[in-house]
Amino acid sequence: MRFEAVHPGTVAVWRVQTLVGVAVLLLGLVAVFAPLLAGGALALPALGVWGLALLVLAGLGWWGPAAWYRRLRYCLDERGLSVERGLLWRHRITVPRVRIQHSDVSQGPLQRAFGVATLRLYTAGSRFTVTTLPGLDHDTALALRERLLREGDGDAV
Amino acid sequence: MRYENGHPVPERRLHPLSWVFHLAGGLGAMIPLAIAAALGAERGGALWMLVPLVLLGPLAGLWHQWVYRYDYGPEGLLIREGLVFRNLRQIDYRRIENIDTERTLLHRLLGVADVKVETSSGGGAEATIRVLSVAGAEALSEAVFARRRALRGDNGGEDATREPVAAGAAGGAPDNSAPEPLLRLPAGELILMGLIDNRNLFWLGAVIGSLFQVVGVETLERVLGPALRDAGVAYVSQLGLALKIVLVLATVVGVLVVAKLLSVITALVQYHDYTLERNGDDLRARHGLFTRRVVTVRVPRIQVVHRLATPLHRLFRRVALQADLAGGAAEPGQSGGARPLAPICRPDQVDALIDRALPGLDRADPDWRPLSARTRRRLTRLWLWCWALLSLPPALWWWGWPGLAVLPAGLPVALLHGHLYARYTRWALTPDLLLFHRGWLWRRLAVVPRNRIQTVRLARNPFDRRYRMTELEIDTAGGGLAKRRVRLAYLDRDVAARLAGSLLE
Repeated sequence: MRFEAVHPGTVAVWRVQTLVGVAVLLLGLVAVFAPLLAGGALALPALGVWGLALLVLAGLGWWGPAAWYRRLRYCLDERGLSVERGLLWRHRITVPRVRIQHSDVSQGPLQRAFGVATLRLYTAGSRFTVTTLPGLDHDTALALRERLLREGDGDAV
Repeated sequence: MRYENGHPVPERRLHPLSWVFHLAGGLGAMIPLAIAAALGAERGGALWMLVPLVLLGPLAGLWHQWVYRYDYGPEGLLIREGLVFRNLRQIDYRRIENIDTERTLLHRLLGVADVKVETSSGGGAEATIRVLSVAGAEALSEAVFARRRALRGDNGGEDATREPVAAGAAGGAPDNSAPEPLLRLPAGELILMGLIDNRNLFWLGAVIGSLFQVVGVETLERVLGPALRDAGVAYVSQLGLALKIVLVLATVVGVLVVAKLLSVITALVQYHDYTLERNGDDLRARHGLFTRRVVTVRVPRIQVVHRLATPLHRLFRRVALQADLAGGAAEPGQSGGARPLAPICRPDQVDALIDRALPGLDRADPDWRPLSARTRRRLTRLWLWCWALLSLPPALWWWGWPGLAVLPAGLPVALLHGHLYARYTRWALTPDLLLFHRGWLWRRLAVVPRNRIQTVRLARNPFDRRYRMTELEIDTAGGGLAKRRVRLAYLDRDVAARLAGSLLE
């Protein structure tokens, strides 16, 4: 099995998303605690903790997506699509072609700016009904889906 | 149909009045809000504040109508939703089982219809097209089914002639032959079943607990307290230690006896005259003393058969058989998810029943394979760690450093569990089936036909990586419950990879 990496542009998308998330979280904390702590004895230590959290979370937000990207791979063969991912908990899900019920290719505004899209494959299963492959090049995602469905055939349940 | 970079882009639009129905759906939720706003606005003399609120619904409807597109792609029905967050859905023609049209009074007045496209995956429509003109809805249905026929015909599928409506109830007409009885449970078996079943222990606890809640601890104390203090407590404190232990034991035994009695009665009532019979393509179970239940299990829907043996089952030389069903909830008279095939039966009846539930699948002498050779060590260590974490803090708290002595006390159990689990847990692959037997105290055998496997997942957590193991999990269309997951943990890495490969051939 020869696994392929997804579009590198997706790292930037995830970075923006995580950094915005971190910013929202930290600004929210400021909004809640600033009036409580302002002028108090705890203000300075709290600011220190906040700054530390900012550094750590921003570092994670920057480094995490790159590390996650390196572990996200997919492989299309005659049986179906396999997606491998995860840093600590590593998974490889294989969806046989014949099991795919329907599929989505979706793209948000941020993803569009970087030319990536998310492919979702739905099966009739009970636990893993949706298999998500994020970070694909938009055209690749559409082509992948066409190739998956064109050769797939048979009883789906 | 337009093509962009060689990919089809849908172009057909919704009916120009779609926004009305988009509005009608959300209108119910808007009404109380609007009334509240109107009351507030009237008091403030500013009715204009209502204007944006009232406009919100139609604007959302117009937006949806404006950006929504559908079309007939080469492989499947294409649906585009959203413009900013864009989603392009494709539903393969061959998977489409049903196209329903729905018309309320308003729909009929305006000559339009809601169209619901469903595949066999169950759990709601895959796409709801709201709304099309009646002619458009019919055209869509015809276009989809014509393409489906063409695609299925091309591939020589035998269901090319299958009618779309009948497809949901596939499996052929029931033949008129007399039903063939497979299993009958006399009262003796039901009593055994009640004795084995532990569910009532839980119920008894719940009843006693809720009794305390209802009556109230204070009331109980007021009523029983003085009496207990006068007669009981003083008396009990004078008793010897041995007598106290006997008293406690007698109480426990009494509770157990009552629970088992209840359990037996429940089993006798609920499963009175249990008969399982084969009726054409279906399995049909009838049971119940007061409410007579008839449950039909359609054989093609059976995904996994589980054979269960608790310690009590083994004491009485019985097992239980259960089946995981696909979807099912959508069809009346059929419960989705798990069904007991045989609530209790003798081990020698199992093979015949499994043959009926999974017909035409060869189960002859499976070649059983063990788990990884490192399983025993890993499980023993795991149990020792758990034991240490649970027992050490309280032991050190009570006894100080001598408390460390509890640590070796957990060793025999950990060793025993690791050894027995590794010995009794095994798997086998036959041309048609995957068999997985798990556990030594509670034993569960899962029989999975290979053609029911939906996806295969290999997982490695940090511990798995350390022991060079992989966990393989199989997803079928039935069996969402955590207990029924078919999950082969502690496999060697290369074994799991090879198994995953051969499962999908």
